[in-house]
Amino acid sequence: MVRLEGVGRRYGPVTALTDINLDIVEGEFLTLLGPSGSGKTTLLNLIAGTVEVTTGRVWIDGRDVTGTPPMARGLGMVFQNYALFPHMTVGENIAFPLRVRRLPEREIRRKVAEVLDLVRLPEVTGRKPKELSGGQQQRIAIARCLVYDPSLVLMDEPLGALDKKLRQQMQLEIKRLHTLLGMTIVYVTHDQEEALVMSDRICLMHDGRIEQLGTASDLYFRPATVFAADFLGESNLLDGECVAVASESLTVRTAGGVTMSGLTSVGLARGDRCKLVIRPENIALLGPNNVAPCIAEGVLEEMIFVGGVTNFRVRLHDGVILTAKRLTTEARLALTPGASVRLGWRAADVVVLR
Amino acid sequence: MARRKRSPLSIAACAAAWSGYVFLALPSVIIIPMSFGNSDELIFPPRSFSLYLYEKYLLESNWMAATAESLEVALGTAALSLLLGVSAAYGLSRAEFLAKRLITMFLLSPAFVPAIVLALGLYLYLGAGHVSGTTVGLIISHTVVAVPFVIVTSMAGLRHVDQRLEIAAAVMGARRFLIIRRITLPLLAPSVLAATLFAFLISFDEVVISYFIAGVRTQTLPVKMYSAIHWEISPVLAAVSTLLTLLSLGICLAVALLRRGR
Amino acid sequence: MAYHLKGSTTTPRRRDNPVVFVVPAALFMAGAFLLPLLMVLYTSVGGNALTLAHYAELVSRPLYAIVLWNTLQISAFSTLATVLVAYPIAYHLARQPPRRRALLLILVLLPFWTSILVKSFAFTVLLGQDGALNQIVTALFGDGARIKLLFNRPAVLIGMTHYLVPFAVFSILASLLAQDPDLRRAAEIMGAGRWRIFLAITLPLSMPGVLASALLSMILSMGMFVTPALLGGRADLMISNLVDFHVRETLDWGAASALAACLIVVTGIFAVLLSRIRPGQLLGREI
Repeated sequence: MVRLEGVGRRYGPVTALTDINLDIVEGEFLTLLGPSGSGKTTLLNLIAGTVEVTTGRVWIDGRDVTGTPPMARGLGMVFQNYALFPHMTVGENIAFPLRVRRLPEREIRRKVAEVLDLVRLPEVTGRKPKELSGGQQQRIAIARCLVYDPSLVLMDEPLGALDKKLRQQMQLEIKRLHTLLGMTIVYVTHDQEEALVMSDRICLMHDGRIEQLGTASDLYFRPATVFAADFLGESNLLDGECVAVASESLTVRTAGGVTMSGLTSVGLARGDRCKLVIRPENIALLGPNNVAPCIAEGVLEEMIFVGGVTNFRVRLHDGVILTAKRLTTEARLALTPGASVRLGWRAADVVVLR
Repeated sequence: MARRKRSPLSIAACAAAWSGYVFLALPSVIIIPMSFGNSDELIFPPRSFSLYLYEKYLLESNWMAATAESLEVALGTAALSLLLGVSAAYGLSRAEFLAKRLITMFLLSPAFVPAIVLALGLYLYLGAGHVSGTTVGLIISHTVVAVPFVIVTSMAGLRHVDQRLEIAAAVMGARRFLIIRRITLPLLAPSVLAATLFAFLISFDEVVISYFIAGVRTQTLPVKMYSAIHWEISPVLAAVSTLLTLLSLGICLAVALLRRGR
Repeated sequence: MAYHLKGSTTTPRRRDNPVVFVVPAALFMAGAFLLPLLMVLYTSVGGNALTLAHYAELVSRPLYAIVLWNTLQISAFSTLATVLVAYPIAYHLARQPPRRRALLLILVLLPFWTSILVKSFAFTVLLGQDGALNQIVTALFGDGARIKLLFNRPAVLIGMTHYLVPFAVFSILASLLAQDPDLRRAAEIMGAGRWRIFLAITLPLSMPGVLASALLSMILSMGMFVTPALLGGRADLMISNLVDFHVRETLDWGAASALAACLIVVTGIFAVLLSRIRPGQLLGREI
């Protein structure tokens, strides 16, 4: 559907994107995820044609559109600030792309009514955008984008201005429309939760490059880089050195002298420096009689109660601090800082990275 | 917040400011009562009130001819400077090109060149091309002075037109001219209207250049007024001045309303 | 199936550059503004003769030195008066709530947009031998106290100041409104009195606006023509009036052009200085 070949963009001396190669499959929901300044919005604009590439080529639908102005690319886009025309009514806004395409007036009226039904706002045709709530404006922006059936839809942080509840509701709404209509969606967000909820695939961006591309569970459970591990969810990151290498697993000694084993796919050799990643939710607090494949002992430093879960910060005897995230129970809340605790996890939950 | 007793500073500042306002309002305060005097001599305050001076202005063909000429020139100037100025403002605020700053300065510079220099230049230049003394010559000259103001007003307006709306329209497939017609211009309308009024007024009040290049048949109202003040100080001037003040006031208020609507 | 754009999807066009929108105005200005100015320069060097005779005359004849001195003096004094009158107005406007400010601003905008002829006429009526001011004076102190206020230097300065004040107000007001009100609040909390706040914070921060307004006043007053012609006497001739004199009376276009060229250079220097401080605010009108 979309193919980017060695795409790069510079703004004067500043490089916003370097050598991006990306294939977007027809009908998929792909999210460009990354912190601000990572180049995700620039990449979206390069696909839209509102920003021109400095190197590389952009293909849409098998057509080389490098250098083609946005009006000739035939795609749809939803903007963060909605970009609804303030001087037109909702109906005129939605009719705009159809009028551009010189559809007969009857057809336009039919399509506008249809798409307003689709976004479940059939009553607002005659109103001005200003008179609608933020969530309604967002629905209209989506309707205006869908009304001409573009096979590729770009969304630039469309839910950024909404509050949390409404955002979650709209996430499901967009997901529903995607399933219903089957178009390809490229979605930009800096919100990892949003990315995990909505995407077929996530393209994690960092410093103008693609850090990792894969499904939500790929990125979450098999982060390819320290940045990916750190950006998605929470991670315990430990420095270490390889002491033994098997086929897929290896043994690492941490800086503090504890030996652990874990899984890797980055091809480390004996003696290499490396980082260990353990998700806090994979670390259990062991009772006196529990056993686990990997066990470490330490002293509870701090408990942070965040509602459904509680974070336990534990200082191991070698000084390393690990955070364990467990469901909140009264028994666990009864622990006090200074108490001795045993932590346990599986070797399979440890990812070793370069 | 409960206001403390006003300090001597704020009282002094207030008094100074109000003296300033009075000073600024002085001409209008003098002119308007004068215009209702009924004698042929200029005395303030007038002894009795009538519409005698207005009658005189309206019935004298000299004054009427000058007014008609000014009107014609001002309408022509408003139209021409609007066309050139709004278009240039759009280009300057939406395009990136070499020496943009320099070209912007060039297009705005007529506002800083002394009117007398422009007047002399146009006098020499138009005289060579036999356009001197014609209405067209006046329109061209006034447009030189009006365009910078149209550009500045329109550029200020364009800064308030969200460029993302234009991008959105482009992504939906609209070509540039359609975007300008359906999105940019409707949103820019208040500024364009204000700019038109300014251009009209600048032309209608322009005196120095007109004084140099207007012919006998194309004498504008300000030129006629200039000679009237210079040579005779005719009381009719009070009526003309009042009408001009009202025109300025009307345009001021209209522009203020347009600004508020933004 | 997507609704396709007619014609455009198959032929990727070069993106058009909106720079073309600047072209008509640029061409017009080149023809109707730049060429006339060049014409002035061309005439000032005697056309194809390429002589500096006209400029030499400017230097040698004392009349020109006197007029130049007049011009500078009148401009400097009216600039000073303008800043002194405009600052309190701008300060007062800046302290008003927006609605009231918009209303009061009309008091500044109206004279700004009033024809210079209307103002000059009003001042001749106000300041004349039997003008409003003299009537008050004679009513109070008898006929002997009558003062000469018209066709002299004070009349020119009053007229010019009146013309310049609105420009200066806009420029100073912009710099006052750009100040962060928290700075004043912070100083107040730290115990500073109003005078101290004004002298230590408000005034220094508004200096760029004051400087810009002074430069703008200089530029505008140096080229002033109508006010000295109508309100001044023989001793108040400025460069512009001399240009007019040469065009109308002596038909010496070379001398007129040389004078005009000098005027361009002098005001040009001030304009360059102004663009250094405040490139965006050149026209004083962007409120």
